[in-house]
Amino acid sequence: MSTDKQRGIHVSQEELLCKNSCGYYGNPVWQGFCSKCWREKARIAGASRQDTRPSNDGTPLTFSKFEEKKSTEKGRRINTMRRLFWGSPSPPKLQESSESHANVLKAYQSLGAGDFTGFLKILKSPSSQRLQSRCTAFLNTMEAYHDLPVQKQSDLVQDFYQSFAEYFNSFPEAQVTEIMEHVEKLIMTRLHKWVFCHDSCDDEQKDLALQRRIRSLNWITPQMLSVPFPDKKIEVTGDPFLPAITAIIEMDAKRAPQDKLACVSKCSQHVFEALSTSNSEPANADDFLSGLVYVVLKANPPRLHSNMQYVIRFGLPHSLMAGESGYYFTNLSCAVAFIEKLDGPALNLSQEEFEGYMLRQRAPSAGKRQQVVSDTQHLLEELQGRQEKLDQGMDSLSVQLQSWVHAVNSQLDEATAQFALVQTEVTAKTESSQVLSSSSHDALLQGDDKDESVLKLMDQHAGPQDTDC
Amino acid sequence: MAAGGAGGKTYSFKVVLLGEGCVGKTSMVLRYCENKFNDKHITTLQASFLTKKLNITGKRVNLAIWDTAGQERFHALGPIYYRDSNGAVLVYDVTDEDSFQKVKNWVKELRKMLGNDICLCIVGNKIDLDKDRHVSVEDAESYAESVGAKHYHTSAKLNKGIEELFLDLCKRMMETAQAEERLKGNGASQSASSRRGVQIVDDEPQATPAGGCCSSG
Ligand SMILES: Nc1nc2c(ncn2[C@@H]2O[C@H](COP(=O)(O)OP(=O)(O)OP(=O)(O)O)[C@@H](O)[C@H]2O)c(=O)[nH]1
Ligand SMILES: [Mg+2]
Ligand SMILES: [Zn+2]
Repeated sequence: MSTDKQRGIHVSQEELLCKNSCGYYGNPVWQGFCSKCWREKARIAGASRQDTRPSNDGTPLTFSKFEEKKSTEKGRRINTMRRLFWGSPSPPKLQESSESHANVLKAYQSLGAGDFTGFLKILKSPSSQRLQSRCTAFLNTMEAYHDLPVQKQSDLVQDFYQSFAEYFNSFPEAQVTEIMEHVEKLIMTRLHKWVFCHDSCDDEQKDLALQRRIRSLNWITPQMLSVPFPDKKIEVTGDPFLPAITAIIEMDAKRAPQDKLACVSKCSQHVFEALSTSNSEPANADDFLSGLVYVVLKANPPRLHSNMQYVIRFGLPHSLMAGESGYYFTNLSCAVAFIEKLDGPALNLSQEEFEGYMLRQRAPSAGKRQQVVSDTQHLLEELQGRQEKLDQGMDSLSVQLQSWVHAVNSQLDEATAQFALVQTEVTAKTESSQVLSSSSHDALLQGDDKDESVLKLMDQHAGPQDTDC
Repeated sequence: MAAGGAGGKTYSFKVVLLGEGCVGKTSMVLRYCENKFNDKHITTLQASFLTKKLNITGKRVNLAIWDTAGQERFHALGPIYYRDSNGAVLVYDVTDEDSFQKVKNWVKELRKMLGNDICLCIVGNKIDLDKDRHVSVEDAESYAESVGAKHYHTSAKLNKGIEELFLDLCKRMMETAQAEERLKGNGASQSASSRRGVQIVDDEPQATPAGGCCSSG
């Protein structure tokens, strides 16, 4: 969890990119390579192995034939899996005694909202063994067949959700929903690395295309999008949409579809908050969508297409149907569609103006780049200036501190001296009044004693803790 | 553990709100869900997604009302918004002929994309301004009938007709949902299957090891 959170904001672009630095995003499943470079690498590694492998009929299988065979095999496997897990359309047959079954159900029913740990505890308890082994078997099978086409995988996961939910069909709907959210989290946290941005589809290319498209549109201003925006004051208060931008970037770091969806919802809430700073009325759908488009353009969220597809394929259906998160997700889909199709008129620009902006954007060494460089330089200089000021401040502070210590010490000295003086005076007086006939020698001796004690006192006062004695 | 859900079933409906700018869509939903109109103290940050819980003849209904971006530049996005919606409320301003034309365009598009599965409501708002009316009652009502929609007159300002409109719409959506359930047979759980289309089950005979690796499951 905590690492996820960190990754959400602090991950650098390089860490996400393919290790081959080809410009695509890398994926842990492919050891940090993109699918293309990974395949390349695997092929080279495989080629040397294949050479030594005897083939049945002397001619090596062509790649396409090989693929063909693999896919028919997969088809058969799916059938087998169907039969194994949910061959019967009716709710799972109950092998346990109805008593223990009722107890398990009671345990699930008592689960607090959002208590994922509690859910895991119940699932691992002996009485819930049946459900647990279903989950485990399903996960193992999915992992073993992780090279199935992603649509098949999506079907399998959705079928699993459905058949799992049937176990709880005596529960009220809201409660089933809650349990199923835990199930989704459990299943998809494990499967994420296998099915996210899967090799079998063009998600990766689409990610790249969208990313390029967004980058090419980075000249778009809030005004062009008619986003209600506080004018001019940005330097002072910062971009009010920044929290929304951060939230949507975080989406990529989450693994469960519901957590990705939660990032979209969080982003949307922040958009509404940002809109409310320059709008007294509640935001309407046009304002919201414009704001969201602006946020997506500014954030250029990593692997946005893959993330959205992943939520659609592996998320629980109900959350995308009619709920609030479904509304936000739909608007995000709208924002992406708008960005993909965007032309001059959509921004209140003529087509020529639009093309002009796009051209200037594409020109490699154009003023824009210079602008960015000088902006960055400016920022750096400002930072350096601040650092120097800070150093100066520290110096003067330590000087002040030292002189303060000196002042305190000398004040102490003074006070002790005065105290000693008063003390001698007092003793002198009492002595003169009480011991009328004392020799001058005695008086001198006693005076020496007093001096020593004063010295001791001064030593004590040098330590700061003892000042109050 | 026989399905104890007979009375416990909750209907969840998605309703999209369509109409030109300024016809009163936001005013209408805020009036309906929060009973407020042009209120300076409206604390909601947004009026684009609102919900209402109802109880209709003993059945619970969760109504989600989706405001949709209606500006021209967003026009092509319509289908993304109203996919999977059970109902649509198409609003026009009775003092604005143009806004009624827009409603006609929406109707065409919705019918084309969603067929007859969606319950349509055509709503003439701002009837408190009846003296400036530019859309005749007969025209509007006969048009609605011709496209299989119901017509309503409302005023968000005076809180007239809005409650009735949504209640009526919910009843119609329930009827549609019940008819669909009957068609499907009562067995399957609706949500998953409807989202993901027909599940094709391959019945090619297959030697499946009896037991298999997961006899525990
Ligand atoms: N007289 C009168 N005015 C209304 C009524 N309903 C809304 N209005 C006014 O019409 C104006 C527009 O209302 P909105 O609710 O913002 O309209 P909208 O359809 O949401 O507009 P957009 O969000 O821009 O698409 C506001 O000034 C409302 O006060 C009504 O029933 N009667
Ligand atoms: Mg509005
Ligand atoms: Zn690469």
